[in-house]
Amino acid sequence: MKNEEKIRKYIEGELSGEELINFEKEINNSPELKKEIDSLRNVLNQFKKLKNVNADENYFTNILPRFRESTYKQKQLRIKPSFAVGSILIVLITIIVFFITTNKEDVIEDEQITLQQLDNEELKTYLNNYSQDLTTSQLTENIPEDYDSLFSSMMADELSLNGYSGDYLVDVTSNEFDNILDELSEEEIDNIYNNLIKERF
Amino acid sequence: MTEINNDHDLIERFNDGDESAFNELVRKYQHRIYWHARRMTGNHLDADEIVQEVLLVMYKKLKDFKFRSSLYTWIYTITSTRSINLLRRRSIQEIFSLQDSGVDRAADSDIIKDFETKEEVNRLEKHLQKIPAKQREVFVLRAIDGLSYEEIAEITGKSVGGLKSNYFHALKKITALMQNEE
Repeated sequence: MKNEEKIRKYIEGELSGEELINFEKEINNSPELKKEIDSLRNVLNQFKKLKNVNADENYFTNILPRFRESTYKQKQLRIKPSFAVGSILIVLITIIVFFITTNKEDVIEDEQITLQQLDNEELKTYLNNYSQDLTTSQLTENIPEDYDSLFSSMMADELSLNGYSGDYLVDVTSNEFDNILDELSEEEIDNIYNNLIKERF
Repeated sequence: MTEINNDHDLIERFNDGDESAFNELVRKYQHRIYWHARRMTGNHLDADEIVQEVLLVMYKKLKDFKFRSSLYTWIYTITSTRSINLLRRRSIQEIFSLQDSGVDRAADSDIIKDFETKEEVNRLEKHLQKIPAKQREVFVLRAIDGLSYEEIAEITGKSVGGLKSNYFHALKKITALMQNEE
């Protein structure tokens, strides 16, 4: 057995019988060992006194009321789980709706930018596809003014009115139509009528 | 055994909704919690903080207590763990803090009113703070609280052999520190 282990056992009263007698002989024969053991015991005795320190009992009386007070406050501050879940859902839905709305506007803006860059043929194809999902007012809002003549020619193509100006057709409003008729001679009206009959029917 | 049965009854009553049973448990163990925390941290303010933390843990976790160990060893384990965590937090704060780290927390307030006793306790607490927390835990439980190595093993989760060695190293270190002081 190592000497340290013997010292520990001796101090803690774990040695007995012959082991104890032999170690006590060893201590008596070695002043150095005796001094070491005395020092260790002295330190232990000082720390053992810490077990019975007189302290203010009011502190201990107040431990429980303070604890109860703090837990009561925590309970009051605690948010009900259903309320917390509901609030989180509302915030999430608001964020999702916001993003969807913002992204739609971005798409329209992107399409307007691209529209400026198209040549006439590309624009024609684009308008044919794009106009299917939009009303006339939405469509014209998104078409730049420069493309009015192109738009008119597309309408003329649609009506198979070869040789007529699309611009003229687009510009005519219902109020102006009566004025135009008044200005035409009988011969001109017959001519238009015959042409229309010939082209469309 | 009577103590264990008594604890068992109190816990059962508390789990059945009897808050007064918890009060009884607190009154029974508050001194042990405070003094163990105080010896681990070395000052009243930190010990007080830990007492409140330990009571909160007890309040929340007592329903899960299965009596695989004694209630008081379970309470010691919580107190030790909380104390060691607080000491770690403090040392991290001291590393990153621009403020003076040598604030004497013991001087701020104390529940020991007798001047001589206070001086003596502070002197011993300062020596205790100079050994590693894990060694301090074993030393305090053995030398001051007088627990058996088996009980300390239950609290710390270490082997009895390792604890004996830890305890003796701690004792030698503190003895050397106190001799240097003289």
